[in-house]
Amino acid sequence: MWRHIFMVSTMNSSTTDVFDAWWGWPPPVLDPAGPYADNVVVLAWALFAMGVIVTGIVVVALYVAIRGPARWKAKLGGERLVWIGGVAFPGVVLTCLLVWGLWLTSSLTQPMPDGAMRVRVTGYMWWFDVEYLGPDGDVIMRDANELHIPVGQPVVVELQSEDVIHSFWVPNLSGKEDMIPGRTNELVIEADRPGRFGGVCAEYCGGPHALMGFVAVAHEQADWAAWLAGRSMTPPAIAEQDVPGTVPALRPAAAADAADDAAIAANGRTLFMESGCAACHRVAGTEANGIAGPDLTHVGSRLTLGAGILPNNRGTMIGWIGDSQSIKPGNRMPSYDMLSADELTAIAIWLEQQR
Amino acid sequence: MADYRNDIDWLTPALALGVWAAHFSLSWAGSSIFPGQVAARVVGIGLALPALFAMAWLWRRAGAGPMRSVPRLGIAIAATGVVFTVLPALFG
Amino acid sequence: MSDAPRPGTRDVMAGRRSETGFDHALYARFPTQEPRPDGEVEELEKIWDNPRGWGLLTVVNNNYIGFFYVATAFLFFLLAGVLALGMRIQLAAPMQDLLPQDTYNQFFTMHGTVMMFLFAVPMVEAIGVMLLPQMLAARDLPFPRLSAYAFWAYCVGGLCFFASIFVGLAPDGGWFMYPPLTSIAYSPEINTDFWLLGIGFIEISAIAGAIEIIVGVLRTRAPGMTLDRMPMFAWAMLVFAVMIVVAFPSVILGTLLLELERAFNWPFFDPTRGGDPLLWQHLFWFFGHPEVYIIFLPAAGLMSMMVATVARTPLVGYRLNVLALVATGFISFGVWAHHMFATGMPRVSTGYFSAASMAVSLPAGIQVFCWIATLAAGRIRWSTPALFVVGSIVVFVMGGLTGVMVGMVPFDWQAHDSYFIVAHLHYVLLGGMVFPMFAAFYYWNGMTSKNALSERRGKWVFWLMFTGLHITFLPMHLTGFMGMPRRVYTYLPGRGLEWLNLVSTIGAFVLAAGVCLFLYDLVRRFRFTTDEDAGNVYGGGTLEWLPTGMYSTRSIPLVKSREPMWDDPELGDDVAAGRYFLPNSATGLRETLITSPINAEPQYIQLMPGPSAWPVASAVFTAGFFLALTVQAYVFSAVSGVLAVACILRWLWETDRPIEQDHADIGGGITVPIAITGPSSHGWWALNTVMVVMGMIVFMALFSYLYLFGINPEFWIAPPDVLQTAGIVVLLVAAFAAAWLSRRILAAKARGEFPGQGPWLMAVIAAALLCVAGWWDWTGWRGAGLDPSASGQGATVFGLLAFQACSAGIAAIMALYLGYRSGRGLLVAPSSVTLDIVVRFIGYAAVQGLVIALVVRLFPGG
Repeated sequence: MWRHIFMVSTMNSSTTDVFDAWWGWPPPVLDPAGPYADNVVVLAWALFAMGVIVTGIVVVALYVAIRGPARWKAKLGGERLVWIGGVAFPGVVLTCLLVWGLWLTSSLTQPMPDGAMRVRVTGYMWWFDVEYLGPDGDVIMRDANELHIPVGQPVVVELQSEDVIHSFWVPNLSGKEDMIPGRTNELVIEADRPGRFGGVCAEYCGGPHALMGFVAVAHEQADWAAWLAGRSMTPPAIAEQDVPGTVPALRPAAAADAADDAAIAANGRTLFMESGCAACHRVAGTEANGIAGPDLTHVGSRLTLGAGILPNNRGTMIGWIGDSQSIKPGNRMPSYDMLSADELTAIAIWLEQQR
Repeated sequence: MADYRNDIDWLTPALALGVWAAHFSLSWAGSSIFPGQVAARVVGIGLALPALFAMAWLWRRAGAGPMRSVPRLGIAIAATGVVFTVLPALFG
Repeated sequence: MSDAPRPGTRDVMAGRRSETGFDHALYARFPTQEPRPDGEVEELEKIWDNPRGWGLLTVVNNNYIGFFYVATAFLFFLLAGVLALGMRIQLAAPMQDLLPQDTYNQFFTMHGTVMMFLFAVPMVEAIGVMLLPQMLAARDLPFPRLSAYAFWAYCVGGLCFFASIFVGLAPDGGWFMYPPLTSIAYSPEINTDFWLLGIGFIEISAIAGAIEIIVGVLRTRAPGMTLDRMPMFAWAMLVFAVMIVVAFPSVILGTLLLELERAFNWPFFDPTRGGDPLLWQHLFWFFGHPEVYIIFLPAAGLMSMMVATVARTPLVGYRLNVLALVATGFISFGVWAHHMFATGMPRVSTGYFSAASMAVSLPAGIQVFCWIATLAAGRIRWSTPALFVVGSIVVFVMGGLTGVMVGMVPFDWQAHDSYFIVAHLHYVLLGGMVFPMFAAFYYWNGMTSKNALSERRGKWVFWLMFTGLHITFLPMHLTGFMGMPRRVYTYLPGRGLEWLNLVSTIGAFVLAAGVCLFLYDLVRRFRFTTDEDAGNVYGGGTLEWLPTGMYSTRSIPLVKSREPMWDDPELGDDVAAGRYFLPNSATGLRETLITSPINAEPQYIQLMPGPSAWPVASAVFTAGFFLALTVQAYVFSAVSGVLAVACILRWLWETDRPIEQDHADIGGGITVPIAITGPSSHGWWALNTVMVVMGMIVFMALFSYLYLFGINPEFWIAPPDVLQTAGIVVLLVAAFAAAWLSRRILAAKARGEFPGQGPWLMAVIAAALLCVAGWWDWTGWRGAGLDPSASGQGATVFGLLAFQACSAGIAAIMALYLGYRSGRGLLVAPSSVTLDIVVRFIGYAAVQGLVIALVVRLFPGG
């Protein structure tokens, strides 16, 4: 089931490239996209070189000790080797490494000045809630499983958890930091080029921990401002809501017959409200106000579904709603397999419009 | 005739490592009680002085024995440990 | 101490530098030249003879228990290895359904747990039980029944624990069990309880083994084997056992707290009520990282011994190597939080742990270069152990270097919890423990098997395992850099991870093929024996290669160097001819020679208990107690618990036997006392070790209390009235005094006299005072309005008080047991091991109660 959905959706999708930008090859740990990952890469290569050289020294020393000429063996076969190889040499190397590591740690954790951009990311079993914070700490926009940042600007990520311990890791942008219930950890990330960077939960959090990911998207400054401007936290007044008043009656047959998306979408909206989706999901500007699951106000514009595991298109959306338990076993959303294909399509079309 | 006495001074290196352990745990306690404050560094650096003095005293004490290499290596490791522990307070 | 003259105190000048007053000139009498009377060997054989058939369940001798222990631990290695193969099959391709998510999560949890708790620690302990008495030329370990108990508790409990995977009830929270994932809210099933209780008592059996090893190494060495002449493995096991005693209490406490939180809703780890999830991580890793060295050090000790034999020259830098072991033991307690760099600790704190992580690699480097220098100093003789030894140096160095890498905080932030760590830890553990273990299997096989293992197959085993290891784990470094987190049951396709994972899977099967070939060789060649063994196939120089029977060596040699077998070619014959110490049974009972801790001067003869069904029975009931608790069969659990205690008391009943004979000749005309109490008794050493364990538990609990205060002080309430505190202090001081008085009354009586009802009554009064003080402390806090489920303060305070209540309860049982013995006339002046141990325990419990009451009532003082 899963493989089928995945193959079909990726082949038919214009957003296949999302997945090319994800982690994989080249190794994102060694492919930095910002200053907080950059310096670590230098350290990583230095450590790698150290490892190769020392392993080489040990292997050569072993070879000489076992097969070497007697004169060389005599030089190695005493306590002097222990003092040089086991004390002096590692002492010097480790001191240098330690000072470098401490200096780097310090430079990576310099506190940000007031007024830096802040985003609060909260871990849930098994997805990420993302809240963009205004200058006063108020939430100006809420999203899920996707973090959009402007290029060239450090962003403070406030890490929290609502249930168990998770860990926030975008290897291209920085190291990881844990999301611990009862605490707020702060991690600074910065991208120096636009792009899409894969992220995962790195701390085992039970069940489908393996399928808990997200995408960090870095935009040029102007693009980012435009992106944010299109999304507002403030819900429209009740009078401007798309379908005011009482919920229309269910019209399943009409959905199939209707030619235009608008009618289907209206039907999808009704289904969404009546089938239980609204109990867990919030869609700003509608009566859907659940908080247990990801906020769907902008779901139509997201790159992925199911916390970073599927590209977002109509096919995957239908598959996800109808059979999320096969795609991501154990996740908190039941499979809506009692809905017909047309009903699922209607919901998917309406959700597509929530951009 | 073989000698049946243990001539190695095992106590001195154990004491030196004990000094390292005390310095380490107090430094850590300081950094946990005063997170992100100067006091944490002061504790770590301040305690390093008596710790290193103790090492120097042990080194002189070990110098008297017939088998010096063991206590001296122990002190060397422990002193390296103390110096390593001071580095975060200085540069971290 | 007896009133008989101490052996050898005549020569004052020689005694000046002696440890116990023993005259070293007496050693010149050995080997003795007079012929020994006939029939001594036959008597030894009869005394140490073993029950057969079902009676094997009651054996306590280390030759058997050690072998059972090794075999069981190896079984768990194979079982956990099968789990690993299952996981590798699941990960061979992306999005497979071979192992469903739940099953996979149970598999990796069990793989880690079983490998760490049921394989690695028991295996090194098992090798210790098997080899140490022979290496030290002791007749057996000092507490054979304790070894038997530790083994059976581990075997029964471990197998039941493992069986949970067949019914889908295996723990699934990872071997590190982080709450809140493992708290009742997110793990409501009993899977987690299986882990907590199952591991809880496996830890207890590890501590029992550690006590055995500490006392064994320090007190049962052959005469003349000064600390400076101990085999490296004995040194390693000594450091190992001390580390267990210091480190394991932390995880015992952790498991207790988490179980209390799950069962009674005491919020140790719940941040909404003044707990903190990170407290668990501190407690777990304070055990968890030393644990790595607890596994590595004994294996390093084996390596040091095998390197010397393989290179046919004494170990270069013996003393430096010992120092490296000791230094590792210390520094490894300063690295625990490098598992927590990503938790948002204060920056300077991370620096300290990074610094200690660098420092701890110095002693590891010293050991590696000692081995290389030894190989250079000698001429290697290639054999299967030699291959494994050299291979393990390479693998361990690679793992150690990635360890230095992840010790760097910024790098760890990237590598942490990724497959890079999986690669790192498997290199360390395979190179640092598993390869040395296989080398040891080949090397010491000759001690327990009629046939040597096949050298030809052995080379295949090595090369399969060596290449398999690299094929499996080398790619994982890269998999980690590519962003694959640990503990994932699957991964998404199309990201370049498929090939690397497939390669790892193939490598795992190559590795497994090596292990299978080894099993085949075992089936073909291994035949267990205690006396017709294949012997010293590789030419080792230490005492375990002396000719032995069930009684170990005929006589206990005088040790003049580190490799006595190399330096004295006659030694084997002299020992077998009874020309050294204790060539016969001096008392007609099982016995061993106790020597002094530093210079190993002969001190006294200790009587050893023989086969008994009680240790195995108490082990089965102990396991039953914990497992029934897990499945909430409380009645069955309570019955098992009572039966376990009864069996333990019954087994102890026989171990402190007053016997007529109080001195014995141990050969060469040297006379020593039989059994002894006070600071030179081995029971005193064991009790002290228990006190250190309990003291560490209390210390860690007080740390937890202060830690939670530091995190969430706003939940704290004021302690009860100071007057009440003073009253509790008075009661506890009185308990301590009564315990002390009990011993004085007995000591004041003339030798052999029955002391009346005074001693045991004082002990009972002392225990009763302990109980009253504990009750007052408890109700006092309730009266002050503290509820255990209300806050972190309530949970930790009542946790401490509950521990104190348990201590008082044990003290009461011990005091009543003493009273019963007294009633049966077994308590005679001037001293009794039982009374000594009971009153010392009561005294300790009083001090413990004082510390607990004062710290929590006076600090932070509301």
